[in-house]
Amino acid sequence: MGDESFTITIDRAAHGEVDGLLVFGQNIAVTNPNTGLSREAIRKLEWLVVCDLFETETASAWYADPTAPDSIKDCQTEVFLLPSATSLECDGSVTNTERLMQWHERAKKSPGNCRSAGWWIYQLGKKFKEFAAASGLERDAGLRALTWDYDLVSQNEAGLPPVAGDVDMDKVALEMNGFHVATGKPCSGSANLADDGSTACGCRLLSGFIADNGENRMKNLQGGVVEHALDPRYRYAWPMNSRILYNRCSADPEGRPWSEKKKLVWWDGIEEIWKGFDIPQFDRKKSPDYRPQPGATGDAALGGADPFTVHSDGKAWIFVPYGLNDGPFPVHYEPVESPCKNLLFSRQHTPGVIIIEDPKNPIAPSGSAEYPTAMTTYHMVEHWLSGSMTRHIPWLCALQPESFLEISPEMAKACGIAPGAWVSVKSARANLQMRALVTPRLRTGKIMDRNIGIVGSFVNSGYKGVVCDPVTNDLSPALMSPEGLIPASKGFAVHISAGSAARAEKFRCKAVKYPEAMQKAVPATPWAAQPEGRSYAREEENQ
Amino acid sequence: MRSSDAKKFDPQNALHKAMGYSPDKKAPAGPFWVEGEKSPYQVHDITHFPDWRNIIVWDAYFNNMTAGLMIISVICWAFGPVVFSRLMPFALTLALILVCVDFVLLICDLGDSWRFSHSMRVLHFTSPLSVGVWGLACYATCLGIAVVLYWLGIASNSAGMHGLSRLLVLVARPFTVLSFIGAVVVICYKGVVFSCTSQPGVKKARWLSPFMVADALLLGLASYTILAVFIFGMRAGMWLILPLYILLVARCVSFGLIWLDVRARARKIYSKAGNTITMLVVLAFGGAVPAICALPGAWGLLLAALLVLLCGIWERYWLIGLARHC
Amino acid sequence: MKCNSHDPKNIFDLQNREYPEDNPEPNGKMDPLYALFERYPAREAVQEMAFFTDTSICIGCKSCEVACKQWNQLPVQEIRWSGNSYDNTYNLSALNWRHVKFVERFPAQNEIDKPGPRTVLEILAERPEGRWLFLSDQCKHCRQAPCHEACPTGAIMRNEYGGIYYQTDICMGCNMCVAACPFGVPEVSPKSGHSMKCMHCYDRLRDGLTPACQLACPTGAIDFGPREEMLAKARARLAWLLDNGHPEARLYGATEFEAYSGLNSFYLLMDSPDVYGLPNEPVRPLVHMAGDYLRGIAVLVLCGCAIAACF
Repeated sequence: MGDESFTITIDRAAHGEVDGLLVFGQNIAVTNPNTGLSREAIRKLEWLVVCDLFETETASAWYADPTAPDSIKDCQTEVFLLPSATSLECDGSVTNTERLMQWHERAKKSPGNCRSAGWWIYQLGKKFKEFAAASGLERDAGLRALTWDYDLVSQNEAGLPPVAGDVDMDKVALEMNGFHVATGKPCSGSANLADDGSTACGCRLLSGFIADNGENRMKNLQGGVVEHALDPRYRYAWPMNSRILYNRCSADPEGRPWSEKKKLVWWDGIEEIWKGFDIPQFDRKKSPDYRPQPGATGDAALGGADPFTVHSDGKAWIFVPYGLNDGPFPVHYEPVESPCKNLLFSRQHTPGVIIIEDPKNPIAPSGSAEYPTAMTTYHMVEHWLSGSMTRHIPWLCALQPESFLEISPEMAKACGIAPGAWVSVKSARANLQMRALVTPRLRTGKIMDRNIGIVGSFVNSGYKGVVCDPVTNDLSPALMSPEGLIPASKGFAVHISAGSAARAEKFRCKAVKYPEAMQKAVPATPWAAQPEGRSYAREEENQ
Repeated sequence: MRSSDAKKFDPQNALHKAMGYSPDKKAPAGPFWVEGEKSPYQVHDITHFPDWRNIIVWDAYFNNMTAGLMIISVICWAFGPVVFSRLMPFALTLALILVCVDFVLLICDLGDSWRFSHSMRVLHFTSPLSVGVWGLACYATCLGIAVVLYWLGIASNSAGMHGLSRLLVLVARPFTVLSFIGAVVVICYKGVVFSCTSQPGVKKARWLSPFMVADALLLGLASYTILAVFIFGMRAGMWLILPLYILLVARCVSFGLIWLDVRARARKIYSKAGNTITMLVVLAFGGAVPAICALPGAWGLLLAALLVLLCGIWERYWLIGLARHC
Repeated sequence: MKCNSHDPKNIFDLQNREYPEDNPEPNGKMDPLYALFERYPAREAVQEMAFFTDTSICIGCKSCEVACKQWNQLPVQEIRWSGNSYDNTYNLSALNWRHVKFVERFPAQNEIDKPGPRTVLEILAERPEGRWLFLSDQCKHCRQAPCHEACPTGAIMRNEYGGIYYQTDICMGCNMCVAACPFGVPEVSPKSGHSMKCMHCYDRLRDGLTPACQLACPTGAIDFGPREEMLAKARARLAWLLDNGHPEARLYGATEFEAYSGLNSFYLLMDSPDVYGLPNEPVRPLVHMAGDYLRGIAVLVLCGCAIAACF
């Protein structure tokens, strides 16, 4: 099948090997590594479907990219912009890195033609099924067999106007959770899933959030127990609603808590069951004395004192003995683009790093005198991800209006850059002009008699919004770690020098004009809360 | 942060520039991140400058002038020769015109001018402006009535109805007294309005109120003098030379006292040249020169009065500009 | 969602019905003469509420600024990068009722040659090189407010929760409150001509909620509640900080200043107040009023007598 990871796919698109892309809620023109290459790739596509709340940089790369060569006017990409609803305007769920799965319900009618991402996918799927039925091709057999019946029949309880063709997310949730094919009853966890076709499950990890009586525990809101900070009654955490993974470790091998203050689960010898503030990830009745029989499989193969249920022996591993190409222990390697040579090892950077070979993705050699400064990228609290949403909100834009480069006072002095002046930051791939924020929070250090500094900028800038700025990721290199395929946007080498306002102006773009409809007050805000002359229309107030 | 000062001609900016104030004067550029050095919030005034632009200067000017004129004319009428009682209606009419001008300016100075009547909702003694507005209202109303009565009296006198004329003048007296009381309030409040604030510079000027009183009397005397000399010539004017000297001294002394209070701020806001020019204007062109000019004759006296009037404008721009953002 | 007990068309009329001594007539019209000499008696106090802002746990996220803008539907004043750390709001104004200030305090010389710590204990003992101070500035809701005293129309009042509230339908924009405030809080709006500042989320308090900024603050740095409770929390927090290696911590406005009242929005600061742009010792402008009036009258009498003596 080949490597279909994202950075590789973009590279293939840049060579014209990809016909089209469906981009839902991602702004690849801004958040990819080497976004100059990404935008070139987008312009080589035959078609592009973007589903987002606003016209993002991805959706407008075909005409609005200020760094594009003149050939942009010959761009042949057909772009479809599907206006998306926000999470307040549709049913759905949000899962975070705490493993907490939270349901949200539709609370507001979405404006104009906006529909939820679920609606778009459902309607597209229906169209695909129609095409597959009509085509009769062998390769479309899967689409023809696809179960795709999630029509929403019940009226929204909040009394909001129904959306024609809306998708019933509760039905989708049931399929994600898994169900017994014969009876339609939900599965209560991945332990219930069978490989003989009697169960069907969309996502093994999440299985179990629908209780036996059909209740979707993602909707539980009773939370707030006084006794403990953990509350298993609030929403659902996969797997099995355990809030702390491997909470078995909070008790010693005999099942007694190590600390009264920090106990999570403990063994009750009288009732012969595990009790506690949290939910254990194994059978509650498994005694701490249990030792597995030879030949046991699954949960039965793990003893009562083996907390790490994901590992085959239930023990903690200091290193990974199989399955990964790198290891066994973490060691220090330099990033691929580094101003310094690796002083610890003869190998400069992580072995097996995948570097996209492309003339638009040149990589500076390590220790190069041409790029003597390390650069990193990060986010600002006032903006979110690529800024495609937040840069359309004037309140947030006023808090962080412009892209800037943070540099240390020593480097500013050395390069002759005054605070607030234009600075030119150049990597092997791009040359951007930004304002300089001189601050000692970013350090300059001495490595082998050379002063090497770190500079940083945030990635939430782009050419569509109430404020527009160069895309910071134009500087980063398109290369990935060998196992996780994570791109290296956070560490690369640049050259800093005094910039010019003229060059900055050359790449300035016109800010998006804020639509009239978005300038009205939120309805039902009490008048006392609008002391600014009550300039908003009165007919809004009674909604 | 407002957009830059209006591109069209702004007398305040022109005059302040002459005094050495520059709104674009750059504060020290840093480094603001060094422990022990000034933070970015220490290099600017903490307080907001209340948008005291040109109108308030002219409002203070006419306000002082009308109150001073009223008080001077009443004193001169009460203690001076009989020619001053014949000057009275003219002086009061001028005072009335000036107070109307002042009202217009005061109303235009408000952020929401149509709501000027709201200042009459309550009387708060802790608010100098409240006290002043009520004083102004009392003063203006009574003055208006008194002026009308005086002119009606004069008209009826020339029409031959002497009895009616005497009655009208008699009725006008208490209104004159009431408006005199109002004028006392008006003359005192203006300085307090500026000095009882948190605005840098003026908040320290403890002698601002007496200075404004003295200067108000001086402005009133100057306009009174112009009126007197034009209508009655030097036989009225010569009586006013000594009061002029007294008030010039009073005003220069109180200005000196103010300078002692606000010199630190003045040096920060204005350049050395600007402060020196101001001193020259107040003490020389507004002080010594009028004193000398007043002696020779009618034209000298008129010139002295004019210089005093012009100096009043300059010193008010200087004073109010002390609070400008720096 | 309508307010449960108020007609949202005019919340000020509602106040009239409940508090006749403040506004016996509908807004904007002249009071009868009997109201002339009235000072505002303190309203039937419900409870004196106060803000306690603990800058030692503030993370500078500006949620308070955005929540305030959103609740009060305040438009953006200006979108302009300042270059001063992360503060692009510049100062409090008619449209900025919350302003987060950023102050970086680092040693003058970054010791780039300094040898690094060699042991874990050395690492743990190392004090951070510098500090980044944050302050979420707002109206101080002074317990004796110069703006309240200086207002000639009576638009400024103290509500029953102890906060200073501006009735913007009475305000005529005379700028006296702007001149009087030693903290530089209110500003007359260039758009409507009325003076505005943090209103203590009075409408939220009346509905039993807490101010929007307090609700939005993710760390709990902004706390709001009965004044006594906030004072107790502040003192406890200060004691903890002083005991745990932060001798620079201090309270600002919890108790009276030398020449100024206490504040109903007080702070725990990690440096001297002027570093944050707060006056070290604010002065109540009215302490000088009597003297100023007397001096004026004295000069008036003196000059008047002198002139009278000329004749």
